[in-house]
Amino acid sequence: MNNDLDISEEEIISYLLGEVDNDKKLFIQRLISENPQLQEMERVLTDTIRLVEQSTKEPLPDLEEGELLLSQKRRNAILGLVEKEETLTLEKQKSSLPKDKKSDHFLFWVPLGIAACAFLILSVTDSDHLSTAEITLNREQESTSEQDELEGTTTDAIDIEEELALNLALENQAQEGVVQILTQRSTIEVEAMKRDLNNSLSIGDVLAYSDPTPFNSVEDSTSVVSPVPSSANRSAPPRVQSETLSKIQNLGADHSIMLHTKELGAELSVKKEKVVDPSPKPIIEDSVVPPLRTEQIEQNEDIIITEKKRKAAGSENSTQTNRTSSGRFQTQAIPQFQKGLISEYLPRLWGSSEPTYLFTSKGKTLGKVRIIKKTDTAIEFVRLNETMRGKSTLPDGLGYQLRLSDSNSSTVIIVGHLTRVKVAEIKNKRMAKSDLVKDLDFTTYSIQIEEAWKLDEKENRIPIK
Amino acid sequence: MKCDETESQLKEWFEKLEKPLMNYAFQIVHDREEAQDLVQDTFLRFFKQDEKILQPKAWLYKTLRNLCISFLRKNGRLQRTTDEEQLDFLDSFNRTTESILVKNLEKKEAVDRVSHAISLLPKESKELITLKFDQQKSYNEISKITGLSVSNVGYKLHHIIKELSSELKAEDFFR
Repeated sequence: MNNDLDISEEEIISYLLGEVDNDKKLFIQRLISENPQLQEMERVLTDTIRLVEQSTKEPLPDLEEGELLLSQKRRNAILGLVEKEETLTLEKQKSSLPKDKKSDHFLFWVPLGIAACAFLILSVTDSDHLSTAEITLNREQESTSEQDELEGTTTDAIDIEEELALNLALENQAQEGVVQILTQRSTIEVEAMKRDLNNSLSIGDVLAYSDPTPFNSVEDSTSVVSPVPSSANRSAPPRVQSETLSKIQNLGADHSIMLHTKELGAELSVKKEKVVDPSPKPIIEDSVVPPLRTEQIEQNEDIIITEKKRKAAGSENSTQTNRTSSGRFQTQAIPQFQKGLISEYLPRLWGSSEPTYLFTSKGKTLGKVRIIKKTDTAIEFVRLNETMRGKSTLPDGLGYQLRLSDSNSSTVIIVGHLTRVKVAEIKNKRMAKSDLVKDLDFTTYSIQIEEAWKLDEKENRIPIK
Repeated sequence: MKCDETESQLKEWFEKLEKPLMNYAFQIVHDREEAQDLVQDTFLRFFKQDEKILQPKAWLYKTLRNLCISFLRKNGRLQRTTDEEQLDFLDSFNRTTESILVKNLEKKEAVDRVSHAISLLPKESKELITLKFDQQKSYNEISKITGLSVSNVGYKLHHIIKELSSELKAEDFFR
């Protein structure tokens, strides 16, 4: 019933359903036409009645009782959500409620009062009690720390310190080990280097920086510029050096270059400062070995043949080789091989610990050799450098030079004809003691002694007569 | 939910409308499991709703109907119905417009909604509806058939129509 209207909703429904008489029907029609609210009400009710009429024409089948309900699981999910929402709502309401001022005051003053009481108690009690309290506190702290240690909950600071100390100790040990290894290595390497330098120094003395006096007379040796560098030579002007170089080039020799370093040259210069040679010496970075020229070798062969003939004829004249003004080597006096003299020098060299070097006729070094057999006329040896696999076998030929040196005696250069003797297996031999030659097969060579030279203090070659 | 409902009231709404909503959903989608899913979803939305719900029953029916329609559209079942409606309309009027189709669809939804509401009525009320609207009986005739007084028949029918119109209006069927 609408109180503002002159007619009720039930009357309008009765009117729409045709349950009113004509007078009331006209009355309601007039009211509806005059009132928009009644018009709207009439429209809604008319539509509803039409929908009900249509729905009755197509009635829905009756559903069985309890057939369509949510499962218990779904019901619990929905109702559980309802309870949760309710709980949250209550909490919000509680949190939104204003705090009780009395409770705030109580919460503020209670801890303060407890603290004040504790302070008063501590201040009033005598020193014994105080010390007892301190001891108690210390014990508590100690027990706490012990408990922490037992539980493995020591402080991070202690752990860090321990780790740092351990790391430092490990690092120190590692460094010491590395240093020891490096020291051992460096010591061994330095000793080896020193040995090599000393050995190479002898080579340089004899072959690289020595005056090619074998082909000059002893008297002319002073006139020939010794290529041995000295400290004075280092400071020599370039012009002088070039002159000296030109002189060396004028020797006509094919300069084979030995792989000596600058340091080696410097070391040599220091060692050879005693050499009295006022002429400026060139700074030669690579050692130059005066080769035996082919023609010289041929001449030597001729000489040997001639000497053999002379020997056969009882003549013991020797020949020597001198350099002409054109720089060509010429045989002036060929030193005749005399086994007696050789025998005089060589025995002292056989037992020498100094290494023996082999050179080609052109002065190219062929490395160290080890003498395995010697006679008055020949020396049989093994090339130690042949341990480098792939090194070619030496061809037979003339002019090979063996350099034997001893720290106590002068160095001897032996020139002769090289012959490949045989392939010897050195296993279980005395030489096999060396790791370099162990379990390796070597080719032995024999050099027939044709010439012999000794080096004087000035590193000049003096034929052994 | 901000409908100013307590937990007991929410549970009351759930207990009161669980079965009607299940029936309504089943009448639309014709699938029990889907109807359960849709009704559950409706209630969950109802409880999680942040906005204030003035008419919970109308809100629940309207939400469930929309969910059912979305379900039918997803499964392609609503389009077939629409096409059938379109063919019927063409047969009747030889022409169609989109607005009429929409109105027809809305009308069908309203009829289904009313049918659902009638199905939930007591047997006596259903009989009154059938006598009055299907058989076009007068209050006197219905009174004689049912043994009820004419005024009682009128009161009951008026109450049913009034309630239906209120619900349909609340559910925006009469826009």
